[in-house]
Amino acid sequence: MMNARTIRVALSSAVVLLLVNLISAAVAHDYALGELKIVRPWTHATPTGATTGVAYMSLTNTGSVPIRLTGASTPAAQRVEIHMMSVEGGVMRMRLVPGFDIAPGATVELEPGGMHLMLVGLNRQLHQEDAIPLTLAFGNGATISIDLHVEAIGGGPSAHNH
Amino acid sequence: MRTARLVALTAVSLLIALTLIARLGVWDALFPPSIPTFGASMVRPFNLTDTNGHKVTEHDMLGRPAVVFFGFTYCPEVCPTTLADLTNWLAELGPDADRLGVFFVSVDPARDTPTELGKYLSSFDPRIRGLTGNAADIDGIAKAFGIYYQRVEIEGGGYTMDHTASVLLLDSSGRFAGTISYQEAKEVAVAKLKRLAHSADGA
Ligand SMILES: [Cu+2]
Repeated sequence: MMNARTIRVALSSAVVLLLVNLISAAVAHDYALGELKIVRPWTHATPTGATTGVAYMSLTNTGSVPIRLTGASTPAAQRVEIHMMSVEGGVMRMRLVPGFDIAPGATVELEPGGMHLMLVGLNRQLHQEDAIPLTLAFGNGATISIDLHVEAIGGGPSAHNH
Repeated sequence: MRTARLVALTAVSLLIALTLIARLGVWDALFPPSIPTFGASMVRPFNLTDTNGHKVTEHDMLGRPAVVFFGFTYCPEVCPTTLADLTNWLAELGPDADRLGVFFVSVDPARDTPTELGKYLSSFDPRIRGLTGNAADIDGIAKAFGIYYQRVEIEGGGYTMDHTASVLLLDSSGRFAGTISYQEAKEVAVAKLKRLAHSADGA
């Protein structure tokens, strides 16, 4: 027999649990390296046998000098390339770029339909909810290891929100 | 003597220009296939292979409305996203989905063998039929459908493909019935497919 008190306790624990989950989800996906903030790095799950993957994130430079991303690597793929992608006039085009600058105060978004890191020669299938380690390398020689959160194929935190 | 040299020079330059146009896809880059007009007949005879190694011809694409997407399995974003979208849209359509023929045509037949393509498509709705073939046959169907595709070398090895990212819709007679663009809102895409699925009702 559920009385009012039991219900109240159950409800408030549910709220607390939800908050804890939300906060840890937000914290777990953000990183900082000096003046650089890396927010929500993620990737898509890959189809069976897929040889390529992507990495998306938001990079914000809170400092006063430009920061240059020069490369990345992951144990999950042979190599990681920085790609500029566009869909214009219904045609998807993708080009390799050697790196890019994040100007002081600026945010660079790596996101579907735009720039991404491409994981070339995947050696494993990426499954939803996995964490894929990725190391980013910067022009000043600094590196940082982060985890990509694997979202559903075609899904993702910022996809299809229009 | 001078005239002869001039003629020879002109001939050689012409030959070089023609070779460049033909070999490097300059023509396609200058004049990308345009978007077809509604009702235009799209389907030309073709010979392709599905993921079970069975022959597929234009007759398999006619008789019911078709949904056709061109891509390749080495594609990091647009193709898996569109195939996942198609999977969701077909689920949303329910029984109406069975009125449609759904095709994924490879623009990278060199790497997309029937086996590789089959493995890749096993992650999506089984009603999506994968088609591949030899380079000439792929080129034929792409041209007929107004699909742009171009191999792009990647510095340091490998290559990728630029290609049309829209899904093509054809009525049951193989006439152009619209497109669904990349990242089109789900409701819009499903509405288009529903209309397409019932387009043969009155006929
Ligand atoms: Cu890419």
